Amino acid sequence: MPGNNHKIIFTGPVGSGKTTAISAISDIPVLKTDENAQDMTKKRKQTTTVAMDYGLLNLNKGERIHLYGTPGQERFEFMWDILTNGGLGLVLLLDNSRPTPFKDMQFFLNAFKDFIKDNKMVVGVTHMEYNTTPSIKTYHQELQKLGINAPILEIDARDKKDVETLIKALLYSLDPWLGN
Amino acid sequence: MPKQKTAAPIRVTTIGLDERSQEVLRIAFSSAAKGSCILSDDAAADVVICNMDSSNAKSLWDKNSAQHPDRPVVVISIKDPQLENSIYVSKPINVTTLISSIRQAHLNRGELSFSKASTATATHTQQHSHSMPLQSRTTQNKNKAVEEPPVPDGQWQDESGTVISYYSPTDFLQGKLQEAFSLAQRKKTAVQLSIKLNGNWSNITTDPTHNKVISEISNEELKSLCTTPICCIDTRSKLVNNNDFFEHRKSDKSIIEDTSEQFLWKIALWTSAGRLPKGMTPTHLIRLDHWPNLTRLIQSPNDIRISALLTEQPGAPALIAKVLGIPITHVFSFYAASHALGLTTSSARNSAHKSSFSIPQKSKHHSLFGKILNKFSS
Repeated sequence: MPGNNHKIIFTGPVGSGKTTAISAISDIPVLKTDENAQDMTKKRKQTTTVAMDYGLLNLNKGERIHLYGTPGQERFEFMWDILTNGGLGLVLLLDNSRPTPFKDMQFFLNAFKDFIKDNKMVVGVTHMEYNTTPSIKTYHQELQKLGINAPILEIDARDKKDVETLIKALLYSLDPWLGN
Repeated sequence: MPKQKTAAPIRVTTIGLDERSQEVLRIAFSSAAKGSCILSDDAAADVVICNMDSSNAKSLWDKNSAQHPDRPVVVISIKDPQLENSIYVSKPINVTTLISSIRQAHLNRGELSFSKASTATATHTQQHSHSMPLQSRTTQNKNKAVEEPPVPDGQWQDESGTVISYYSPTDFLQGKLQEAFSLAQRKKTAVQLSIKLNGNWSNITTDPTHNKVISEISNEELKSLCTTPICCIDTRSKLVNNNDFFEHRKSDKSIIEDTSEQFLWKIALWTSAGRLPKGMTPTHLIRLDHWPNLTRLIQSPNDIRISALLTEQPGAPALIAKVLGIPITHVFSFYAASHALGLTTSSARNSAHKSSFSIPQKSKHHSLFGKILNKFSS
């Protein structure tokens, strides 16, 4: 049905690979709203998303899935509620090379708690090649402490196959009947 | 079974079997028979399997009897041809019965007499009931051969007629590797497992400090080794100095480097090959503690779907296969690999019936999700 408003939301802290992951699977060049990074962000990357990223999956018969990336900086938190409206599921990307990835995880889980309550989420852990700890198992333990049992997969946000597997995990979590 | 570990494999040749059937037999010998039987050429064979339903069966039978009058024969056919000095196995063939009959024939060599094994549709229980008349006609040795272990092993037919294969990881390279991993963890140093391949020793080294496994054996060779019974593989292991280990890593370019999880997952997957580890049954409940890190593990058929279901609630392999509409062998392989990584807990509590399992609902976006998956797979 053309004109639908289905979307998958990518969120996570600055530098976790949201823009890159959307670019990896989008059928259109990702529309970015990057600005030169200021303040703390500049330590991690030269530019950062200040409004949102937008990508698109074109399906057959004109159906489309919008891919939205939230800005990573906390001061844009007010936008997140707007972005999640109509969302099919949440992709939380966490940068394993950041000093406190569990704090990041808790922050975003809290920020999206209303959405997660009614929907499914997956966690993609990036930059594990630079920092192997915490391990995926430890992420699971932390998540289970919060009563959440979601897929947590190591990904390279540049790798289309990795990002697709992450989305597949989200879809099968939403509907195990897929494939029947 | 200790006697299988030490005894030389029984060499088996066939009469009247086409190439495809021989290939099936070869697979059965390496899996269900755990390598205790191997296909060999006619001259070297200890036992011959004669297909009496083949077009020239009679002449082949006569020729074999003339050339190898003392060689034991296992006769397979739809109808019992009542041939002297042979053991009859009726078609369709039950692999466990066939292997049992080959062992019996081999034990009986030199003292042949007419005897009858159970039919292919027989269960293990029925086989035991058949052993009574057999005892009256055969020697003590023959009785040993038809005794089957009480725990399912080899192949088994469940109530629905599905053939299920069992195996014990310790009978294969997986067991040796897990021992090496465990030793490395305990000693906090690298352990090298050497495997003799074509006359040369090749190493698999596990380094617990860096959670790495370095293998000099290609994945193709490893896959083949995984289903070869460990009794047929020469292995040795030793502790390795960490410095030596890193020198070795630098010097050798033809190596495969995995994390311990990646390595163990693929070994367990290839060892299982659709079989269920002994100790589990298709109706035992399995709980998946958390998702495997599937983006970094060798793909197993339907692994994402099984993970999605089993992390939501415990379920039995038979039921998971039914609900997802997938071959049960996919669930067995997934379970074997997840179990090897310590991701599963299981209990004997029966969950074969859908009533004890909350069947997940189809999403209202089912069709849309299907299209996304199609796009990814195209």
